[in-house]
Amino acid sequence: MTGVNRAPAARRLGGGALSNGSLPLAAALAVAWGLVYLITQVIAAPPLGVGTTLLIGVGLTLLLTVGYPSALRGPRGARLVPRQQGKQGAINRPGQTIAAVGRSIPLRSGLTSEAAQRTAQLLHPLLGGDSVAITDRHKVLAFLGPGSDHHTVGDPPRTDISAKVLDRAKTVMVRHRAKLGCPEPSCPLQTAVVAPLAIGKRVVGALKVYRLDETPPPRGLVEGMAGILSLHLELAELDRERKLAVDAKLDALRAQINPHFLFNTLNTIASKARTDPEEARQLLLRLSDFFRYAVRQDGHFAEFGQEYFFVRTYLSLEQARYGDRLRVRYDVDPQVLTTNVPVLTIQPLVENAVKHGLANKVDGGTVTLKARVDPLTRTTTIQVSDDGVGIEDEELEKIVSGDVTAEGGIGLRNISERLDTLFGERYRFDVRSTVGQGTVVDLRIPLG
Amino acid sequence: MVRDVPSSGGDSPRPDSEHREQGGYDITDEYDMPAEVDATFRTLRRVAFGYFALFVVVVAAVPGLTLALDWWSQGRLVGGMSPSFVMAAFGLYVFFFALAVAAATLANAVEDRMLGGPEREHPEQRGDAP
Repeated sequence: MTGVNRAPAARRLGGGALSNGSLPLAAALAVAWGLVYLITQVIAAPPLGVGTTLLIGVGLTLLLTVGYPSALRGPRGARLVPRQQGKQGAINRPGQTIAAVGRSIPLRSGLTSEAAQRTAQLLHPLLGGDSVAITDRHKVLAFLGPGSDHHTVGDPPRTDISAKVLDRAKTVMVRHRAKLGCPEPSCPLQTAVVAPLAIGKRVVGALKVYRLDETPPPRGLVEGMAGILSLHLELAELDRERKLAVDAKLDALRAQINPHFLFNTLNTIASKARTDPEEARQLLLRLSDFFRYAVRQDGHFAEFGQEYFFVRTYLSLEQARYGDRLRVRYDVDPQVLTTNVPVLTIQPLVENAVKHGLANKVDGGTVTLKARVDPLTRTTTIQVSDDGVGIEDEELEKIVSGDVTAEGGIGLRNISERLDTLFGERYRFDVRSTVGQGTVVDLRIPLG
Repeated sequence: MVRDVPSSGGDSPRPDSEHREQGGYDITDEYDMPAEVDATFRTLRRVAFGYFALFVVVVAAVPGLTLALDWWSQGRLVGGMSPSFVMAAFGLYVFFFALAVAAATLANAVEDRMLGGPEREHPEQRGDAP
């Protein structure tokens, strides 16, 4: 292999920094015990008893061991939002209160009746009106204050201005009761400001603030709040679309089971049907297990034990094809077996190791699946490695970017995008490869 | 590669009703590959070492505490027994029992998850097309 670049290539496919907590903790414990010994046996005169020294040491060890994971996670109090202030506080510091309300708008989960009710309750004291209503295009989702006896939740909006705002997508201010257009003669509402709730350019509802006297509610405030609500609705829509995208990726992964794998396995089974019918039968059953697992996964997570079953089913089928050229080694921590891992994630990594690492190596090699739990950092580490031909830097770049999918491999990009959605920045996904020595894929995810 | 094992009922064939199949698998089929059995062995060995370490630490703690803490052998608990005596007379047996139960439970759980095939249903029960 002269002239071949043997420098290891490494790529980070996604995720943020997840620190490895065990080694620093071991060092901290060693230092702590050293200090305990120094203080109680060397500096103190007379030295403390063995029992007392042991108690101090064990106490310190417990403190460090219990407190260390919290230290790794960072301070919790920093992100706490102050409790909701009273009405007086709302009047005195409206900017801060509106900002706090803006952060905790329930409409973040979408324009539903329940979210609208909670939002109306939250906004009622802030908008300078006597009644607050939120509607979608067809019905009243929430109405709080005078007039709720006939502006009932679930009915179509009764005022004419609702239709006007929904059609024109512009804020409307009504200064006279007659222009409000409420057909109920005893309706106490006199003035109103109605602002549209929009996702992009599409109006999906309206925020209405009514008053019982001649002075209309502050238009700027209502318009601003409608803008914030619209932003939250847009974010909710984005969340929904992102979830759909993740579902689609999972479906794509299920459908992406390589047809070549199926052909090759069926050919292997056909060739064994004459020479070893019993083994052929067992392989067929394994193949049925493989497909049953792939198509029956509904959620995004599965117990590691199930994913492990899927991987060993896959590898046993590949071993039937490759024979002694494909060797397998599993190294699994007992604690990992019951943890939850993203579904259909490990098998594609193993498939890549077989396809890109060992298939082109004449004398074959070993695929190793190693799974560990770090209880201190509360992470699960899954490592798939092979001692195959390795991957050139450019090829690794293609695999990482998903270009190799067209050639039949499962795009690592697909996996990393799903992990992005499931864990945000709280995972690590690394690929290291050295030409002629093999490839290591490291996945570290939060313990679930 | 995939091996059969003889039925556990001895040399004589079992009655047909007993020799039933589950979703295509004969109940006498052995499902596991050598690499999978090796992996299970390694994991169980890790479990055994972990529990053995715990066993050694607790057993060694009894004489260790006798050397380190006067209260351990001179203090008096219920019935005038010293903590060391209580530990040797009762505590260690309770600990051994709990350790044995925990180790056996974990070992069984590991074996269940790392070996064998999935729980199978008959196609009629599943309602799948044949």
